[in-house]
Amino acid sequence: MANEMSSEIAIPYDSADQQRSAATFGMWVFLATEVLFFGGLFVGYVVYRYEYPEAFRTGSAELNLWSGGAMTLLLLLGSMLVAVVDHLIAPSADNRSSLRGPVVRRLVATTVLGIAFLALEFHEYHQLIQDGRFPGHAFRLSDVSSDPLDGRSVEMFFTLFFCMTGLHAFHMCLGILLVGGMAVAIGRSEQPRSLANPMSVIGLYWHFVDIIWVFLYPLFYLVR
Amino acid sequence: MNYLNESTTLRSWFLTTDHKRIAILYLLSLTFFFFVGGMAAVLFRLELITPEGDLLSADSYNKLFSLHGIVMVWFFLIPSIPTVLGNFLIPLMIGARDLAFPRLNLLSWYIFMAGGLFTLTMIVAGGVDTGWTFYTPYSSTYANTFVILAATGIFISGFSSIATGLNFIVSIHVLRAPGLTWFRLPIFVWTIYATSLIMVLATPVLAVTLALVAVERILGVGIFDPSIGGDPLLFQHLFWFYSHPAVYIMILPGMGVISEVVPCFSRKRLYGYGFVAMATLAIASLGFLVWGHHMFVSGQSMYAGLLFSLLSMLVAVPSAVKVFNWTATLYKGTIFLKTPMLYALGFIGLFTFGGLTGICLATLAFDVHVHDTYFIIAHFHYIMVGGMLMAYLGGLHFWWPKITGRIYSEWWGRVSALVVFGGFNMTFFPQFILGILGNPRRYHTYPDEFQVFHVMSSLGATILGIGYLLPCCYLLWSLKFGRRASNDPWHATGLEWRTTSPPPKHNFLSQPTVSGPPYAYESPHPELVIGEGEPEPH
Repeated sequence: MANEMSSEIAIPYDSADQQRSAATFGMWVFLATEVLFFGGLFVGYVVYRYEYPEAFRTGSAELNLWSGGAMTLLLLLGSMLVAVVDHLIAPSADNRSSLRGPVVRRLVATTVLGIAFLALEFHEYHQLIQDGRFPGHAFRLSDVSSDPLDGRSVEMFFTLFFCMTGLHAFHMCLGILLVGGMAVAIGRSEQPRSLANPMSVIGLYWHFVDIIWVFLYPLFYLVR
Repeated sequence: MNYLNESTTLRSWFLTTDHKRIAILYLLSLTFFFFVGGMAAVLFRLELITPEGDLLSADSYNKLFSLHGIVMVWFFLIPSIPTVLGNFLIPLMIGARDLAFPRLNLLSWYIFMAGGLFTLTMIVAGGVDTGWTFYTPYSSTYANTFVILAATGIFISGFSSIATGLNFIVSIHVLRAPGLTWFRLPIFVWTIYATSLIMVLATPVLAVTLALVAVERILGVGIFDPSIGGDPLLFQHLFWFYSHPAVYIMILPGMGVISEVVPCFSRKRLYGYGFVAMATLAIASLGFLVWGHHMFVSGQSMYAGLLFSLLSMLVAVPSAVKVFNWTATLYKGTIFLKTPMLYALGFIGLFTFGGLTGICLATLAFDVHVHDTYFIIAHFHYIMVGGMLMAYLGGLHFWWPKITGRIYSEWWGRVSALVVFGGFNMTFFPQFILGILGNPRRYHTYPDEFQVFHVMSSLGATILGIGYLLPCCYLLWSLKFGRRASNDPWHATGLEWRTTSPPPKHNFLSQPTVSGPPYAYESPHPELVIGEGEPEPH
């Protein structure tokens, strides 16, 4: 038993507890970094929304409210499933014989929900690009306003939209890989509970990415 | 067996997860980047010997000072003490076998090198002429140089900073030895902790800002371009939100080194330990609230200017607390003027001078007068070079016996400390005068009456350059011919001196414990000799 334990504890650590608290704490510090990373973009949003309130209304009205709403629901549902998995797999939970099945099913469902989210988002991107709303040379200024400078401020809305949701989508891709990878790892593992640590760390990340969307959705879709 | 000779293959170095070996990898890469940045300085100091532009064109001059700034800030000063001395010492000082995430630590070096590769590619491709600050809309719309490559290099190396900071924060929280409470930590650990907080919280803002500049250049949209609806001041706010705290990333670890060196060579307890520790955190937090002092003439609100001016002066308070505490530590101490101590004393003087001129610059009216002149250059070189670089060299000399197990030539060490101190002052003091007289920065020509100061400065830079080459020689020499170091050649306190020099792979043969406060120096025996090394066996 002692041998088995020591093989699981990596080199700088003395105990499994210490290792777990380092992993969890490390993820929190990383998330603090992420908050500031998105924070720069949120500051940009605040500045330009204050400067061009009308343009943001015009831009927002062109987004698909229902698709955005559905995406929000998918993510919240996924977060709930991850929270349940975290609860099931925790070392303090009841010792169930068939842990693997329920955990893997929920993780696979979360992955599918995440992919559905991305599909809806890319569909929205596709529509916007076809309508000439992708910022830069392809942007059709004359569509949104007769005054070019007003058109530019609508373009600013879409620049922020693509930057912020795009960065979020990048994080979603990583999250899907991590949660999907976790489903595979737990599915293959003899002792799923030994993966409780990485699972709770990945769970924190997944919730964080969801929370970012919870702010993005109203800021872009609901300001019409 | 120690960490250096337990395995000697290239693979064992490039795939190592040992924090001590990673520190060595960083030491070598940073030395390389330091000389790249230094060469640029050599070239433009040569140009500035004469008032006319005879050696360099205006364009190449712009590219050289940009290169100097970018390489020195992001590829030398920011990583310097944290990644070399911090990586090596933090686990030893807290009595741990390694940092909390050893593989992440190695990854951070590879990320750093990838960022460095982009920067070198940028240099070879033709450079960038925006200055290290990348001000928009010049950088985003008008510059015809390799801005995206430069920004990518800095963007990537930022993640190495974040990884390093995260690793230190978690290690210091989780891996302290039994009995090593927060207020028994050496001040060096406190300063690396505060630095790491800044790295983790400020670096991502720089990353996203540079990414936006790249987006603007690629798509041709106007995020920061006022002619198509953007706001160039937003760039400055975001940039300085990182780059002012980054100044404290550069100086705080230096203060940590000084707080270790001064008590050891005064044989006295550090005066006012708690105040020094708390002043460290105060500097780190106040540092986040003063970025607007870079923008006094940018057209930001006058009230914002007043507030930023006041807050900038407040940073001087904890900084002065530290200077007074180091001085009080010297008072009635038994002072040994060894190489690290000479560097440390140089630091205290130059940092104080740089800090006081910083208060001048925080004064609104004065700043408007000297804005964008050589006064600014002189001020921040007193902090960055006079402060940080002196501390880096002092720290390297102090822990050299621990890192390599060898004693370097004390005589040459003292010579280098004095040459660096003299050369530095000769280079940068005349620039204060140039600034007051109104010589603007970033021009390759200047009126004839300024020549005497520019010649002094270039001459000083030559002496400074020699001062930097000296340690390269005698430190390398010591690797082969230096006397062997005992475990604790300086008779210093701290856990790092309780293990062998150099330390074994996992730092300690048994878990060390701590039972008292740090810096437990006592009045020394009158015949105490330190830093001599072991007698040769034959």
